[in-house]
Amino acid sequence: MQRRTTLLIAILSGVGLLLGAACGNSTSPSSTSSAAAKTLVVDDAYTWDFSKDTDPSRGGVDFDADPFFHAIYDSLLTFKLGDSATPIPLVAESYTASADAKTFTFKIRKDVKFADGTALNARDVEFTYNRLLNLHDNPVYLLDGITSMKATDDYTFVLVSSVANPAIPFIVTNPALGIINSKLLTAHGGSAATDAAKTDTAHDFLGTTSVGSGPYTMASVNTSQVVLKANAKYWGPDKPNFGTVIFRNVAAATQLIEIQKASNQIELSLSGDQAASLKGNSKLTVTSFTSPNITFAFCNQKTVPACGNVHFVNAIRYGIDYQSLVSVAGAGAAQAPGVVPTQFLGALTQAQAVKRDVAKAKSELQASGIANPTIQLDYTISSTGLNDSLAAKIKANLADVGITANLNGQPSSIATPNYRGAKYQLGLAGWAPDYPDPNDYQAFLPGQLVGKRAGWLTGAAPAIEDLGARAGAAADNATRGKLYQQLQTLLNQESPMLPLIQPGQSVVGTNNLTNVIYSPVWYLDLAAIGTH
Amino acid sequence: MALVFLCLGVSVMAFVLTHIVPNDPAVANLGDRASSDPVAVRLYREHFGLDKPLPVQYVVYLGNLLHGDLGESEQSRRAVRTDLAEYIPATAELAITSMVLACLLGITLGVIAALRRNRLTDQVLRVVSLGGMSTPQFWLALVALYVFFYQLSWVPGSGRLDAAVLPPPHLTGLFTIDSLAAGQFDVFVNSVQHLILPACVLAAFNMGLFTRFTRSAVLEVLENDYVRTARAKGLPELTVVFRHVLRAASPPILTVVGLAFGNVMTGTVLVENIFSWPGIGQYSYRSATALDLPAIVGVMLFVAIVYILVNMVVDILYGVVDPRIRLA
Repeated sequence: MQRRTTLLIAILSGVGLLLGAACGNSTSPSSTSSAAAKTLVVDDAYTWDFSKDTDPSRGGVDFDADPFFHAIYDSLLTFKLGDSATPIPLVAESYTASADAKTFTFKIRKDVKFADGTALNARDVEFTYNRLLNLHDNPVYLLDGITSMKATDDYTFVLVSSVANPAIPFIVTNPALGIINSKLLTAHGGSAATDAAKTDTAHDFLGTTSVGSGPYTMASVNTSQVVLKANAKYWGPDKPNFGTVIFRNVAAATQLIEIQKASNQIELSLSGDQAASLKGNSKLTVTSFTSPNITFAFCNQKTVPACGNVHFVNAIRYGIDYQSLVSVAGAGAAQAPGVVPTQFLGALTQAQAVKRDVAKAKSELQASGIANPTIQLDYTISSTGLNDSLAAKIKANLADVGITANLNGQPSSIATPNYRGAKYQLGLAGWAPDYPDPNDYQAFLPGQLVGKRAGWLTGAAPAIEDLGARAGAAADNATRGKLYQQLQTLLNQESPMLPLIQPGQSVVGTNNLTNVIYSPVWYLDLAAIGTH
Repeated sequence: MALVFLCLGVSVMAFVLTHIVPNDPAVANLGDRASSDPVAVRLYREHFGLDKPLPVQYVVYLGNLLHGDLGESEQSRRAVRTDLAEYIPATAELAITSMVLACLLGITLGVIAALRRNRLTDQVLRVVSLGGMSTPQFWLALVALYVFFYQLSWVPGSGRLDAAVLPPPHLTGLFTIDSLAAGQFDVFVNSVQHLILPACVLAAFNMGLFTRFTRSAVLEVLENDYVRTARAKGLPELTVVFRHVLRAASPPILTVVGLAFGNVMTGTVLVENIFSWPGIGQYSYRSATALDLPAIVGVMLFVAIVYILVNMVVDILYGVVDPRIRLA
């Protein structure tokens, strides 16, 4: 017995020593070196792969990557911190638009320098814009309708659009249009030629080196994080506050735990409930706000002929309890009164939003002449569970009206091609702004991107299409705003589009940080973030 | 030769299965607007050879494979070989550490449980081992992070290193080894601290499994006359257990350890996600959801090779621990 006891003690001691050696020297994770004290950590559960595209002309419209691109690459125009309504000069010291809103002339500053010290001029702008167009990758739509992009001299750049496009000043703020050092990139395989899609070989170079003029440069990148260092040669008046910014890929559940022990840290992926659970923590600042993203439903005329019956669509429209949808969409969520988010020019007010009216919905259903309709409600199963909750609510709402909705949630790999291929019936989908201008929402009109996904083709609604064309081309913002409001009022009466909610969104940061302000264009301005 | 045939089979299977899925890699990987742009879709298909008939795609792939070229990932736009070389070491470091922990603890506790059969110790170890096997890994990972990082501060948070610590110069991709090779002891300590918690979480299931298997195998051997004889001869208990009992009980334990190692190398996706561990689990998950065919085939080949190698090692070890198998 004594031998066995000795054996047991010996074995357990060995195991204990082993574990002790591994953990024994561990330091507190909150302990920071002097270098770390100047480091800002930003966590995001991003789906974007940092090893994929460190090239703004390819990955610059990915919202998860936008803070990174915005910190490294300067664009022609920008927005003041906290604003997305008025583009202001950045690399361009000024710009003018022709009366027909087709020609935009940008005067380039003469004191802008890239991180390697090379002076930036209009040729770099021309190279950047042409490269984006000719690579024909994800951000190419930003230049839809542009017929000419030329540097007319070293400090003048002219954009010409085939149609009036007053949204151009907003579009050029996009991080995908951050100006690239053309000499440096050309020397490493970059090309802006018409065959750039096949001949540009700069991918590997851009995976190791950034070529912008922004306040930060890329120091290193791997699959789990990107490290930015302050650009020592930054030309702008406001130098970045942190010497290092580390942008990490961290799961939301992990963010929730780690932020509570952190300093100089921001979490971008917490759900409304997760963020709300941190509100009592005096070391943190929790900011909840209404997202400019739109969650909408649409009735697909291609797969469900009844969706062409306006009474049937209106039965759905008035049958939905929008406030109940808002209640499950997190702190800060609001009803989407139209397809244009409430933050942007031309948005409808909450008073103008569609309200639930079951009696009206039932009478519309009767007027449709369709008895006991059944429809499939298609949606992507979301990681947060929001879509599932919304779909369940809509199903219950429609049952009150006499419409049977069968839920068909699918993983994104299956749902995305079905949605994009116009295979949904009653679809539930989302739209994030590509740029903060109502012209981005022309996509919801007949024959346009989302319109086609609803089987709503060109010629289906001439009055709406005409109004949309006039709204999109109006040069004056006041006129544009009014036209877009009229357009959305019509959409809310006659279209298969059903704007539902703008979800709540939260940013959580340690409370020593300042200027942690959300932007619908680049999420966060990393260079503006400072400390008390 | 078996390896060649297996790789062929795996590549055919991956091709067929991936194309059965009703999806289009161009739509899955291009953005919302670009996927509706015929030119962008055409260029994408041309770039990745998706415009060619499936048999042609497969033949081209095989031709490249013969030259060690696994193709280009549709997601990362890098050579799959490069991607795997970056992701595999992170998983290997985690998997090896967790297996060492699982073997040490599991086999030790299994021996103790067998020696203390039906006593309190055995009952307690049964609960511990079944608990390890039945606890969902993602839940255990979150609880472990909360308790040992947040509450107790015994270990650092997620990632392979602290945010402010630079990785060591690349040698093997295993930070513990690379940091020692570079003489960066502080980085070594940091990497071990980051490794220990996810490795323990990952080890929990296998520890339970090994405990149960070891207990069963040891109990079977303990009934043999030669064990009784060894004890009757007055041999020290340690000698009896390690030389006569554990050695004879080893073959079934080795079998399950080999299979478990293969599983750990490929089944770490949840633990990698919670601990922000950039390993092959996360890579394979992302590749599968994006229908990244070259990456999927690359991962499947890697998995097949791991299982073949592990089986080979286990076969060799059978002979080492049991001369009867060697002679046979």
